[in-house]
Amino acid sequence: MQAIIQKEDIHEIVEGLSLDKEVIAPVLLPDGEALYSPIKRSDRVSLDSSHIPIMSAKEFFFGSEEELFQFERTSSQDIKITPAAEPKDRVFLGIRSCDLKGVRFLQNFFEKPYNDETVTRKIEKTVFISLGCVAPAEHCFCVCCDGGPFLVEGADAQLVDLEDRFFCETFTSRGEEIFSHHQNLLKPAQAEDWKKKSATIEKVDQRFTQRSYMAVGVKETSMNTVPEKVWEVLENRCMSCGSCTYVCPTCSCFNVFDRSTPEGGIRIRTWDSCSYSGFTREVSGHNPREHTRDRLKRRFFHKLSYQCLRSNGRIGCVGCGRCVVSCPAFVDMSTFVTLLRQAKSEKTNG
Amino acid sequence: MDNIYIPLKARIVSISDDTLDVKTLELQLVDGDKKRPDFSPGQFLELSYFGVGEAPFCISSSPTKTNAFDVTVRAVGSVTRGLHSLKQNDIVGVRGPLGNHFPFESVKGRDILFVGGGIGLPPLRSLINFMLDNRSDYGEITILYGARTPSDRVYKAECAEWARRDDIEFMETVDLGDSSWKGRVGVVTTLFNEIKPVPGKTTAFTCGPPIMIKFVIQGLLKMGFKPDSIITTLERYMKCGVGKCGHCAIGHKYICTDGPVFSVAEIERLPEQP
Amino acid sequence: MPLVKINGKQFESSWEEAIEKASQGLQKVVQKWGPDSVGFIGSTHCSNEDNYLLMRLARDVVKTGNIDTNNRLTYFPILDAFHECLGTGSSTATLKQVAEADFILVAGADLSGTCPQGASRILEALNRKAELAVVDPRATKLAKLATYHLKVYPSTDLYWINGMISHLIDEGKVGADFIGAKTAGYNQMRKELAGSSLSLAESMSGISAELLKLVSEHLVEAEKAVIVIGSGLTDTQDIKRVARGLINLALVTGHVGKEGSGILMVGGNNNTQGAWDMGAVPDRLAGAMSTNKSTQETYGDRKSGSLIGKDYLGILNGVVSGEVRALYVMGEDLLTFTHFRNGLQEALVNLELLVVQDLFPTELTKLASVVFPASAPYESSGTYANLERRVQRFDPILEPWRDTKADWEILSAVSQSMGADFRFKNVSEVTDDIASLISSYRGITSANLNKAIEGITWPPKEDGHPGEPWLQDGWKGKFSTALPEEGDRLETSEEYPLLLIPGRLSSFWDTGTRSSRINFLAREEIRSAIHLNPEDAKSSGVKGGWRVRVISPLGRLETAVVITEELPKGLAYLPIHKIDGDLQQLSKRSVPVRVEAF
Repeated sequence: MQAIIQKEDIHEIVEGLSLDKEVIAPVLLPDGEALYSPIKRSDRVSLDSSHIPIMSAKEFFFGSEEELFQFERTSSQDIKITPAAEPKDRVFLGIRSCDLKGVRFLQNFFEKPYNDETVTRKIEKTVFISLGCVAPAEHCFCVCCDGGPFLVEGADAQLVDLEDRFFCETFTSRGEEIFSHHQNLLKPAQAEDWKKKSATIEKVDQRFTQRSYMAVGVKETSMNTVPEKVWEVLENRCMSCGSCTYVCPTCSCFNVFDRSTPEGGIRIRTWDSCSYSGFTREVSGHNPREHTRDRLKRRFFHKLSYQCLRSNGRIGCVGCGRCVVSCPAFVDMSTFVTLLRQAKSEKTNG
Repeated sequence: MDNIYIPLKARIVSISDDTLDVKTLELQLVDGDKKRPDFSPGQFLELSYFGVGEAPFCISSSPTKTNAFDVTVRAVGSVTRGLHSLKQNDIVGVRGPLGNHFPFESVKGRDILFVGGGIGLPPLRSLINFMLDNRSDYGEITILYGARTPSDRVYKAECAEWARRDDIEFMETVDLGDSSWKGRVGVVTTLFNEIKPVPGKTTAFTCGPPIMIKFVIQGLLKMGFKPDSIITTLERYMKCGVGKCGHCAIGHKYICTDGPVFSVAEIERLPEQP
Repeated sequence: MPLVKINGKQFESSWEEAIEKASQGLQKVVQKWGPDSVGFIGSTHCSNEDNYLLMRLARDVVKTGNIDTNNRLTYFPILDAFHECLGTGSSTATLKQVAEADFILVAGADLSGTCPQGASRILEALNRKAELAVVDPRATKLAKLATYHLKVYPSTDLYWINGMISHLIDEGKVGADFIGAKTAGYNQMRKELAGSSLSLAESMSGISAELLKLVSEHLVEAEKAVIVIGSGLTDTQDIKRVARGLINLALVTGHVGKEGSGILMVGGNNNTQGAWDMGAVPDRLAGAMSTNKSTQETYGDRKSGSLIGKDYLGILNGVVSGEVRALYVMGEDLLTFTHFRNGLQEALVNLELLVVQDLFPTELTKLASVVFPASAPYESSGTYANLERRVQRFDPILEPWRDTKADWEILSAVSQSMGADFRFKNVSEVTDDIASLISSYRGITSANLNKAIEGITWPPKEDGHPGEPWLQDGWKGKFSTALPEEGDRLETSEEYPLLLIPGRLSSFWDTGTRSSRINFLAREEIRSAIHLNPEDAKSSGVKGGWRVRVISPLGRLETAVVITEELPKGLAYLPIHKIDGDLQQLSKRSVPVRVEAF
């Protein structure tokens, strides 16, 4: 289905969806930033793509703190285990292409070799209506990572902003089903709508200021030919704060521990970060990645090279630019690839 | 929803003290017909001490023991100290079997050399007892075991039994003897002088502290063993055991799913050395 | 639950009982021995509101000036120097100015670990092609990225500072207009520096004269420059003198009191600045008003004490000598401070009254007559002032731990019980009281803080306007005496051939008694280790990873060894957290040691 929806009609669609499903959408915060959030009242939804939500979408599928199961001491020598509840049906409206790509990436990762349904089930039960980005933010570089801004793969439907109206296209039966309940708000797309959409898409590509040429990053890491000079600079900047891993749509490392209560307790999974020196510390005290340099190498090699082998060739970076915004020390993905290109060109120019 | 983090319940059947800080727990599954999970030698379990968390332990009994299964635990952290505080009939959680296993099938017919050090004997014990229970499938079997001191040896009674058998060769040594020790003194690699394996038709299995492994591998290579005939287990901090949490990842491999059993040839190809 | 001591044993009690016991105890002591027999210890971890009410209890109710915090040994002297020479008891620069500077001089700070926000701004400045000079004996992360790394021998900072100043004076490269218009005392300082020179600086500090010349000239020529001063200096010498020296350097190069330039102190605790502002100090009334009668009158009709009291060491000495009979301690375990080991524990037991407010039971709470369990930050609300004078409010995100109260609430109750007219219904009223009493905080009311998401930097320009870089009309800076003295330079000997410098990691605070309780932080660094240069390791007969003994004239401890190229020969480095053995002998100051294998 390809249709036009008037901007003012979106809130009615959201209210309709909220009746029987949880709706997640970008919301405008008091300071002007956007954040993906479960929706309570539809007028808080913001489908203005000029603000990339400050956190990625992974929180809703792979939570920053999540209960895996509960256990209860039923007697001095017995225990009862109650698994976490089954996830509910949801609609994710307004997810950006980069974040959707990140979610599909995590889906692929958590499915094999063991299917972690605490994550994959949530993804399966969510309908994704993505929002094409007509106004990229300063640090976005999804175009360099095959991550957007009008990615179709993985979406159930997509909205493209044509200034006074949305162009809405469905790609799956689930997407069709969502909009079938609002036929009265849909007008079939006409030739001039198609034209405007194509023109919009073309214009947007030219607005990207960051061109990181990720191919160089992938090549050099896969061949293990990154000049040591690059690591020298980065390791003296990096403060191991872990911000990059927290905001990254494809980062998935975690920690598991129990929290006791008088009756028993719960087993919790929380996000963890390979940036921290303690991440690989063994009980004996030995730490194979004691030095910042080794952790940085791990991060970039994992994102650009090792992951590809397990993810059907998809690299671990979607170009959302959040690490660029959140890193306090200029050790983000864009900087890495830029430094790499500089170092390589210095080498060849002697 | 199928939750891969939910453990099965297991009850402690018996506890034996191996050394001052090592105990072997004999366990039985509580629910279902099977008393033990179906596993192969070399695989491990994630054991839960409820209230604190989980830790990985190799299964130290052979699958040929069907009425129970063993894990050998050294008390070094909060989970292991918790496990040491448990009594007979107490409940623990068990997830597994996880990881890959020793290549017991492909080495049939070959001679086998085991080199164990200290707390590295538990994973080997699973394979040793399996092979002893299928003795005719394998050629010459030699077991070399080294510990720091006589009191640091694990499975003392079992070692004595292996020494008594005439269908295998068993030798042990300690780094530092004491007044009652009558046996050999010296690091485990000194035992290499007393054996004459044929590298072409022998597979070596070695587990122990990293520094010992390093010298054992050096010694074996010098004797003419090929890197793909030396099998060991790698250790890293492990958490989930199912290749997701990232703690044990080296390169594109996860020690908990692609290992913990690796040949030296495979280890040489890893981007980060363990 | 609060605890009270009856006949030598501690019992749980109600809040009313405990408050009464504390207030009656204080009144009795004051009646018998006078207000100066009571001492108050505040905390640079506690909020402005907490420290403010402690100050009011000390000065308004008990009427003594014996109030101080343990930052007397580290950061307070720097703030005092700023106050005396620059007219503001605070840094003048902001983090934004660091990011926009053309030249940054860092003395005694490893910002990547101890002030990541500052390090981030420096990296921003470097990206803009600013020049960075790092004065540090170790090759820290920023030192490795710096334009100039000046490898100073610890405790010799006044030599290189004065060497730079005298060089610039000799070459006529000082900003004469600025000095003439905006400073006082230049000629006196110039006379005092007659004996300083680049060559003396080189021989004492180990930094080459050539490098000192280059750096000083680039500093004075820079359009915008910020000088950063950190705890590396407090650990090794008389910090107030060194701070004065750096202020002289800033004044002589015209880099303070000018657009875009300034001096910034890093490394303090979360509320070092706020505690100083609130007057948790013995020699000033809140807001840095001096303790003279005419200032008292500007206070209005509030009955404040005007006494100059004992400082931190003075109070503890007073406890040991018996002069101080009652002690009120907020948020500190005095017994971890063993510079004072001699007799402090016994003396504390013999006090007439010891009141302690803290989050956790400690060695000190075990000795107390009254223990008030305090709730933690984020279980209650309050404000902190950070390194750039930014006052920010923190709001609660957790329920207070069962049966605890916020520090400010406890202090208000005790004061009321002693007859004070405090009627604070909530913490916002305390915030507003501060804004009405302390002139630099005028406009930093809770209503204005509600509107300012990023806090308010004092002094605000207009009522509640988020502050601007500190510049005042008619301001003058004062040059002061900052000369090295005989015995400044810490020497080693054949018996103790290495100079040990203490350090701090990013994962822990101080000795880690609180921060190491958190598993997540504890895994970052579970063992301490002394860092040695490869040559020193060899001559000490130790190898990397070995367990060793570290012995000083004052004590000894055991730890492991790490070999590093980042240290020059003759220096050893030891993070102060989680060390086995008698760490305090070695923790807060530099000391000569030898290292032995076990």
